[in-house]
Amino acid sequence: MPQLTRAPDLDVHEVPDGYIVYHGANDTVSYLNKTAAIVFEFCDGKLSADDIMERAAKIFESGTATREEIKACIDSLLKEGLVLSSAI
Amino acid sequence: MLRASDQEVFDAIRYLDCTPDISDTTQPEVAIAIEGSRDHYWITEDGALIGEVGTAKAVVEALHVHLFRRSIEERPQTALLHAACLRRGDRRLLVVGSKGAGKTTLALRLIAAGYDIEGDEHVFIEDSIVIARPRGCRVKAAALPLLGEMTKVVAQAPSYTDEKLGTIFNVDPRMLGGTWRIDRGRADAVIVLQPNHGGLSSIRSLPPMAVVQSLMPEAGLRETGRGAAIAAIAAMVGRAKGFQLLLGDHPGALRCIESALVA
Repeated sequence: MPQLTRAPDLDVHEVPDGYIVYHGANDTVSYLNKTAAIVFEFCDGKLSADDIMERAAKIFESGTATREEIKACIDSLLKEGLVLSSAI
Repeated sequence: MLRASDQEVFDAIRYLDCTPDISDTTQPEVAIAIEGSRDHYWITEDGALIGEVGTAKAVVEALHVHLFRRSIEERPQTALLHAACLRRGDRRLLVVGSKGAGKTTLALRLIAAGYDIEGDEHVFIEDSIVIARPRGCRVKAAALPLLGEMTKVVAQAPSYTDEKLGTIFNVDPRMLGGTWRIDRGRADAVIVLQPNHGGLSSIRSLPPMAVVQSLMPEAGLRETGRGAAIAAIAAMVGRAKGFQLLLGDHPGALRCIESALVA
């Protein structure tokens, strides 16, 4: 299972309701809400997408985010180039 | 300091008059002189030639661009935000809006209501601190009917006529009875304008992320150091309360802003 890792050279700035991420290589700004910010933090290069979904789902046990939402977060982070997928 | 040898130029550059009290005295003073007459003028800064133009109007245009560039170069580590900056007592608020949103007209209304303005067009943001760019309030002639009792005073201010924008007045806020002092400091509230011309005004809280998203189109970022500039904006917003003001009637807008500042 590919592991997910945060892309290099990102400027991450915390605001009370999430992260503002500047990706210098693309000259783009991304806005991560609290759910996306937590998922982003899990992308440390050691966990696969399934691992992250399982761990994030436990944090959101109260129901603020479903597995589908967490998967959508992961897909979005990958699509925006903020997170990279690497084979073991 | 601006000096001109020609009366026509002297009268024209009054449009650039800008003499607020500024607490930040780290920026050096420079002497800009305009020499020549009729169809040829030389513009120098501390003795070095910075431009040659043919008309008094062109002098104003050249100086306008030069002074703006200079202000940017003097603060290389900052973000520049298109916003008005005002104070009410010890509270500082930024009013952000795209061109035509009604920012300057609202700022003048706030001055008349007792707010102190620091700047009506740009603020520099470094870390989480803001400082307004010194510049008089620029009021388009088309906005005069919206200014009520201030119309007569504004219409007497030095002006410049642009082919596209018409006549623009350069208004020293002190002409309207306010003070004009620029200090560095934190923003307590950021108000994002949404035009609702002809309608009523209303206000709602805006979460920090949404405020940053609203500010980014109004932020000038340099080619280098963009990460630091975005960090500065995020830090500034993180420490302020954010609001969206649907800007319709001015009395309503003033009540909305007053309520936001005490929230």
